[in-house]
Amino acid sequence: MNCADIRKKLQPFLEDLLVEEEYRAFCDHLDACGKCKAYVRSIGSFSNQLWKLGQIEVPEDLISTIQYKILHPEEKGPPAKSKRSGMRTIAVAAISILLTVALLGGTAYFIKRRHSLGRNDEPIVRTDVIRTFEPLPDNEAAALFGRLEAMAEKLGVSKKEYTAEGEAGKESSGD
Amino acid sequence: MPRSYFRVQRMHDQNEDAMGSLSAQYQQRIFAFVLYLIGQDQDRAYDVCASSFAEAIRASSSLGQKEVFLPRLVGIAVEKCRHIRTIPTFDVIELLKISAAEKGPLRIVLKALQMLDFELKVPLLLRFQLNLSYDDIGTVMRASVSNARIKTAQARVQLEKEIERVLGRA
Repeated sequence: MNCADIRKKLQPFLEDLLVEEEYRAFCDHLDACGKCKAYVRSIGSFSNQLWKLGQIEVPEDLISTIQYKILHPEEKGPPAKSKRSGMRTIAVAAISILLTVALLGGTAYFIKRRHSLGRNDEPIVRTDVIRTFEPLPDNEAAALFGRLEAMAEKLGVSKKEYTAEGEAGKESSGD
Repeated sequence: MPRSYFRVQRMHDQNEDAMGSLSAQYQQRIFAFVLYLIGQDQDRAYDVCASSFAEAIRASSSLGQKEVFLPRLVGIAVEKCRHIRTIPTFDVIELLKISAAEKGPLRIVLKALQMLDFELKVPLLLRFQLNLSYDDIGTVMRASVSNARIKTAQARVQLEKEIERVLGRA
């Protein structure tokens, strides 16, 4: 066995897959060749370290999760509550509380202010700004209508044009 | 209920022992493989590991062919890990079932491993952690056997360089 053979047979050697004759030849060459011995040691320890990294503790419920996922491939399990959704809920609740407090506070302030101004019995809506228009007496209405007719005559507008009869005539001629 | 559900259920019933032994046999190695591949995020590794097992078992008509099952399982896991980028969230050394004296050198190897690119980590872990043959590594990486050998050798050289770098920094 030569140096090239050592490199070829290294993996089976590390995995203990060499037959007895090959194993003896391998070891004999290592005893004789310092370079190969160092090479095998470095590779051997290297692969051993990586193999050791695989000796890890596995979560106990992994097998049961695998079995569940085999039978329920479309389900991804219960959705985890993210921190973001929790924060959003808290923010919405805080804003709702603030709005409620502001509304109640504002109402209380308004009532208190009215009380301090002595307007407790007054209605909240001011009625004095609303005007009520009484219908004109007949004689005044007749006088007003007479002035309007005179104005229309001066402008050359016939009576039919501004009365209900004239409007009805226009509509029927339009149809 | 889809027909595949009953097929899997039947397969599951018939091969319960096979599935149990397969899961028990490979879960530790696959969990560790995924964990190192994505960067030590235990929760993500758990999810990827469980779903990879489930997909591989569902895709198998029989669980008796272990030679076919492991490369398929590993192939699915690699594809799932390919686009996952995580920040290490815990010290994985604490999870190792080895003595405290052995943890020191392994911490260095682990640091160096995390510095490697994904494409270099894959053949390295497949070969030296999962002990896959180059045939299987080639299948998983969709490469020829000789390419798988070359990539594994390149990855090993790169890891050795990274170990030296870590030791130099220390």
